[in-house]
Amino acid sequence: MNSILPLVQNETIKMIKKKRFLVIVLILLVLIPIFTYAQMKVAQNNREKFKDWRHTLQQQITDNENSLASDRVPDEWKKYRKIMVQQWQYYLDHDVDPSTPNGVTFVRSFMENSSSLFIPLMVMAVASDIVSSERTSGTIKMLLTRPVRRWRILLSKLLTLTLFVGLIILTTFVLCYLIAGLVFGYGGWDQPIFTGFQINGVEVDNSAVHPVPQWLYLVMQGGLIWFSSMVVAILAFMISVLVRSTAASIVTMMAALIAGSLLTNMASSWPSAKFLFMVNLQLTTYLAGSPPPIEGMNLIFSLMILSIWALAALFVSFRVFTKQDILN
Amino acid sequence: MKSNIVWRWTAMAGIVSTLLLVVGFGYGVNDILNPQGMELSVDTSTPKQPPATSDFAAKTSIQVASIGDSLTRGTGDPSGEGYVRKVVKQLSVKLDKPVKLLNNLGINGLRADQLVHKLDEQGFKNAITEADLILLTIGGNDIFNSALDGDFTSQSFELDTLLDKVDESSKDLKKILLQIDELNPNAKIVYIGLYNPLADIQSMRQIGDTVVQRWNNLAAATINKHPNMTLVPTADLFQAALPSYISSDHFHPNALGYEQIAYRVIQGLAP
Amino acid sequence: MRDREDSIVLKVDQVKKRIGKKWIIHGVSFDVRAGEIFGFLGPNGSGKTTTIRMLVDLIKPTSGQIEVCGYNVNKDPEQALQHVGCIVENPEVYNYLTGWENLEHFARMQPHVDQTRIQEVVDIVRLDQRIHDKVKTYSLGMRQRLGIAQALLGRPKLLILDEPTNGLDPKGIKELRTFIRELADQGMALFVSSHLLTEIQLMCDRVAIISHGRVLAVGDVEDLIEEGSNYVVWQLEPAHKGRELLHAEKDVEIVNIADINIDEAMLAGIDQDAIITQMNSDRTSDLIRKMVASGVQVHTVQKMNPTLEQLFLRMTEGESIE
Repeated sequence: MNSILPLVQNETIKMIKKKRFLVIVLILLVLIPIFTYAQMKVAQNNREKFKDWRHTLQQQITDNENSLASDRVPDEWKKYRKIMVQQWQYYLDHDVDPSTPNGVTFVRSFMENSSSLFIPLMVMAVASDIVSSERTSGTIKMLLTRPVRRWRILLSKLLTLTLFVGLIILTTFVLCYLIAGLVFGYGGWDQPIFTGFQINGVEVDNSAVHPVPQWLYLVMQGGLIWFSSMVVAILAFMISVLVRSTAASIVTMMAALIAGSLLTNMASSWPSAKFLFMVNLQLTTYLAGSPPPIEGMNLIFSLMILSIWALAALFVSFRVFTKQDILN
Repeated sequence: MKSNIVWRWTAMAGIVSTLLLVVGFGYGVNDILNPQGMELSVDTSTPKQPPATSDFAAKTSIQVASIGDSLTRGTGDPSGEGYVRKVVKQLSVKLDKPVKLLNNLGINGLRADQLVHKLDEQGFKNAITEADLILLTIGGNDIFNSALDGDFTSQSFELDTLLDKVDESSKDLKKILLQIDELNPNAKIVYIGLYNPLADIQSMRQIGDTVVQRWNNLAAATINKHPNMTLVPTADLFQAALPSYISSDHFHPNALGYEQIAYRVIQGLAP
Repeated sequence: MRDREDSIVLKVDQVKKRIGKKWIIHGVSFDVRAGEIFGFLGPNGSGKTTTIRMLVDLIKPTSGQIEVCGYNVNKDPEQALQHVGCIVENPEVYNYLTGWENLEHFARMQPHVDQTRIQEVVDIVRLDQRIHDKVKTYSLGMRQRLGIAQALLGRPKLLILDEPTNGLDPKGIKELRTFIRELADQGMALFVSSHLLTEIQLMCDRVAIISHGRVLAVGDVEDLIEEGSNYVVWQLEPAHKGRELLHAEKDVEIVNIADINIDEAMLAGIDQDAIITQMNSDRTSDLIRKMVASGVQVHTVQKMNPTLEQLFLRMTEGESIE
């Protein structure tokens, strides 16, 4: 076979018929309304308590400043809040509302919050059994006795996975917009969002800050989420090649991801954790100008770490899959 | 074949979304690595207008902003209300019209010199400009900043040092009051005077009283020149019954103490 | 013997396999020719499955060559496997796809297989009634047929079936046998593995017998069976007179029922007073005539096939079987 396309077609059809993607859409259809409702409550509360967003934001700043004085608040949180306060201050100084309640803003904050755990989990649901399910069902014997080289079969699976990673992110985005728009309205595409905050220790350097329309911000955010999702997908893909059982493969990846999100919250006491892929997944922090989980991390560093993990995983996947004996 | 159509659409959608995301990734990385900073013009199309009159009776609703230190924050009150919320509630009853708290901008540990800078912040300006009533506490931290540690032996608690500090910080207080007045000449500004938190410590009582008196006098000197400013004295209140009005940290008022302060504020506003 | 083209489709030459430190296959060699049904006989654990998996590139041999139509399976799987259809162990297909979708799936993996060909193989295995149903609703027999359809898709020159009668009812087994013979008659080479001698005997032209990772014998089924098949069971009336007559024959040896190793199912059907002899079965008709002439009534004469174990014992004579 010269073309990889029929193989990708096979894998895509199998993916569709396994209804994995449908499950993801259903999960989204349940979760997004819940978050929309919660967000609506917050917006309602703010409307009741505050005259307009400026007062809400100022209160937020003051409340955070107060917690900075408290000794019970851990230092890394203080650092985080200090930086966030400076950013909010910037928005306030420029009379720009960072979180106007509209559909697009909801999408932006939902994507931001789901980029470290929720989207990777959905990606995993698709990636974790892409090879191991063939082993569990025994169909791998049929697959590998056809006149196609093994690396082509694995590559077709990887390409299919890539397609679905794109689809998952876009579907999350679209569903989020459609559902949240019902409540918050479908506007907000042109609303300016500031980006380019440079963080030096606990000080925020505003010299490079510039506004981008929210739609462009969303596209950039999506791209960064895509990159880390691809890394998660490739790692789950490797586990799927190495582990026979789908359950084991899902559990392994899930443990890694959850450990990652826990570590992100307390990693400052263990700087070497920055070399773990899980800690580097939230690339959107660099766009938003939030402080990275561990001091010294920046976009280039995170991209490097993620790329190294992904390349190593790809190497292992292809090496093992093409060499290994199918014993049962 | 049906599955053929499904596959085609899925693949197309997958390719399109992947391409879009890759482009976004490129843009995002470029934007982060080479940020094009620009001078931003502040949108001033809707400048904040201070209220037209200072007469509460002529208004349908009253908006309150509170600024200052931990007393404004309400530290020491288990209910978290502090005097600010109590004033808002009681004033609403008294005037029989809605009273709304715009912002409570009390920050624990804030000193007068810090507040001077805070007043430059847009958020503070917004709140001050729009308010009909501005409540202010400040100065306690400037003078008694190490009292909370219980360290009364140091140099900082000698009378002369303290009095020097009072003179110094009173200038900041004056600046603050004038600045607020400038931002919003039609708002009523209520400054809550200092009390002596050291009254229950025998050795410090005398010094505390002297210092607080000096501070309050200096404050009154500024406030009395402006008809829209009011000084609400609290020193006598706490002098009389300190143990029942002070919270367990021996510095901040307790719920009852805040209740008393609020009562006095209301009295000063709408006798 | 039927007509046999002399073209070798599958050539297995000195294939060895080591897993970890253990040698699983010690050196297996045989050829399979076009138009023949080649049996691969061995008990479970003899290395049968490992060998089959090596034939289809699921397992790489540690040393030795496997060629299909002249192409090395390991070095040139794209060329070699084009000519192979196989079912390794159970016919595993995608449960969540329909039969047709499964066939389309595998059709996309090989050249020159279009919708017409899929319809052809569906007709061949007579699955057209249910082909658009999901496979999870299929019976085992239907799955087996779908598996065969899949194996036939690429018009293979070699069809490898691993224990194809497993789980089939007697009717299904009979159909399968006929079907396999038809395929062979069309010039296809068939490689059928089994652990049952009778099955091989009924189905195959030639056989290789494997035990403990070694091929013990390769040859025509008839010849191999003949070598071991020398038990004849007599049921005579009166029995003692018959026994005397048989005893008198030089090339007939009467054996004790306890000493022989025959299928237990067969033993169950033998009467207490039956006489078991070891002899060339060609002599049977001659002996019957003698019996009748001497007034001995012959109730039954039965030729007994040797069991696989027996063949093994014979073949490994002198060797110790671990």
